[in-house]
Amino acid sequence: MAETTASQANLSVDFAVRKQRSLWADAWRRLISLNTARLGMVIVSALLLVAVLAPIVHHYNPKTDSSLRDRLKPPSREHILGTDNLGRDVVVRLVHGARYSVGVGIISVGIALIIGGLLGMVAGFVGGKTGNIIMRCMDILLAFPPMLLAIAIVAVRGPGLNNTMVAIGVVSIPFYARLARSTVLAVNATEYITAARCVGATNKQILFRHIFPNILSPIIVQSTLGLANAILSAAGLGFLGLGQQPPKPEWGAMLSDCYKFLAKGAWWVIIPPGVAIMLTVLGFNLLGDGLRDALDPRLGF
Amino acid sequence: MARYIIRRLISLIPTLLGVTVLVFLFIHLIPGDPAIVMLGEHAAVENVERIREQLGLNKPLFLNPDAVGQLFRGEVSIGEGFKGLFDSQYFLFLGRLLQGDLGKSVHEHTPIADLLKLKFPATVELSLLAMVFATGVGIPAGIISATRRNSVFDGVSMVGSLVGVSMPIFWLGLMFIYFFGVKLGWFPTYGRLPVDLSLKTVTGLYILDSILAGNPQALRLVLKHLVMPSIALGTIPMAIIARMTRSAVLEVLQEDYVRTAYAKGLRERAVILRHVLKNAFLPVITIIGLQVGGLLAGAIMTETVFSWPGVGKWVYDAILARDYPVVQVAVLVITLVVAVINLAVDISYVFLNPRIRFE
Repeated sequence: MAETTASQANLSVDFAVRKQRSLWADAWRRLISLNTARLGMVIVSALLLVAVLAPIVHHYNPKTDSSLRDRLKPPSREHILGTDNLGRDVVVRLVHGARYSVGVGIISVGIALIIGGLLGMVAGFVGGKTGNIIMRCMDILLAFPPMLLAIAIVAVRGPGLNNTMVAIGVVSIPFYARLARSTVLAVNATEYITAARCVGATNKQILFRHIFPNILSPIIVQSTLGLANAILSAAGLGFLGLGQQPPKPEWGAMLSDCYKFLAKGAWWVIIPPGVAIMLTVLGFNLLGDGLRDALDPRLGF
Repeated sequence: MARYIIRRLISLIPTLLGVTVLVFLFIHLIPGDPAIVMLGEHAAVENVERIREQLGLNKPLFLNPDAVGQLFRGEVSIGEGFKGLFDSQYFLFLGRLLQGDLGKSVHEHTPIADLLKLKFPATVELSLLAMVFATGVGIPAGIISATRRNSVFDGVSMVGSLVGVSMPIFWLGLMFIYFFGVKLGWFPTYGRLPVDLSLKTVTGLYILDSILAGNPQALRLVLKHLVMPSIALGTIPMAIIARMTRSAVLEVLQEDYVRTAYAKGLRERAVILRHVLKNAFLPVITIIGLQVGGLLAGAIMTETVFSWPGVGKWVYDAILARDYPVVQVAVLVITLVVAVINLAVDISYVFLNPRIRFE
């Protein structure tokens, strides 16, 4: 009798004490259970893989790549997606172009995230006049349509990939600043912050040990969706001839180089780069939406 | 109500002043001497001087510190010293703007205001039609998706809207040109009208002009030219509006009063039209308002692809020609229009939702 009770007790302990899962492990589990997020992850991982492996597997020098005999050849066994107006293989350029899209996305979001996030955290934590001045400046930046401001900045600073990244980064700053500020304000009003203050934690400790980890999830979501936007904007600037300059194979610039040949029926120089941009942006959008659902259990997932 | 509108208008002033400061500083973001960059290295000295004079590049940036010195030394009267203090590039720029003087194009020597009057209606017409497409397709698609949740239609339209949001609009424009212009020959691929057709312009909006002229042939051609660019430009807003409408309607559908409406035997159409839509529209209108900024910025790409002679193409050409005063004015005007539209959206809330009291 006594034995049965003991084994029953063991059993119930087994049920009650499930293996502990951290918040992040929980979020990950929710994320991979979403079909759309999984699709997003597959697209994004494939893109990252291509971007990282491209120069290792195949060396590409855009300056020497041209073969005037093979100009605008339709897809064939030799060139799966045909060749462009300078006889360059579309697939090769597409694969190497992935590096630019990923690079632009990461760096411009990085700029916006670091500057905007810090400004927003300061505005939310310090508040008062400093916070007000910061947010008024952000309002002024927000008054411009972002793409228009980015175009204007690159137009005056001169075309090129660096200026593209800076421009897209700068116009995205206010979005991160607003988000960081509002989440800091919300977290700052919680009881555990008051408790930390009561036990004598310094401002620095409160900001970095207690507030920062708690504002991470909305910022991760915003950054993922921001990557999609940055890649789309960079392609737009490339298409206008303001982004990466030829002969480098940035996708937007590839479209800009070749769209004149569409009238001749050369669809293979236009469809692949556009599909590549769209899939990449779609991948980050799906992943971002998935992360939003996964990181915020309150949404009633 | 009036007090609320006035307060909102006043609150817009500091932001707009900030916008003018930033737009003014554009010229100084140019690496090197702006006048030489604009005219090219081989420009004649007198031309460079003329541009410097025109933009006031020889003056201090914001305030003239010399004037303070003169004032203190008693060399000038207080009034003159004060005036001298503001004798700077920015205040020259702002003063001219307030007088409606938008400056001159560097290369064309034409007043920018005249060019703007010529280009603006083309962009307005395109954007309006894009918006008609975006709301006309996006809102019904969102409503049907929400009411037939998890149906095939819902799946297709939500996947479609996700793809729409991820689509580079210039590429969509190119695809339209290829399939419907080059392959099928259904629509013209560039411009607002065939070159050989002349239309007396009164408003600059060709749809209106051709109706005023009583010319159905021209109207047909104008509409034909508008189809592809306006659908290309309207696709992203359409996708966003469809998603927003769906989620707004879904939220309202869960309300008790909707259940009550069904329970008292109202037909679905009546419930949706009279009870759900009225309440779901507020967030949808915000989103529609927010799309305008993106639409006007997107016009730069759409107009470039379709050679549409509007503000967007004008900005693009000005960038290529390094005609920065034109870029400055265009950015300023578009931002101003967006700010005013956003304000109008905010104010429309008070009319649409009597629960909101701003006083």
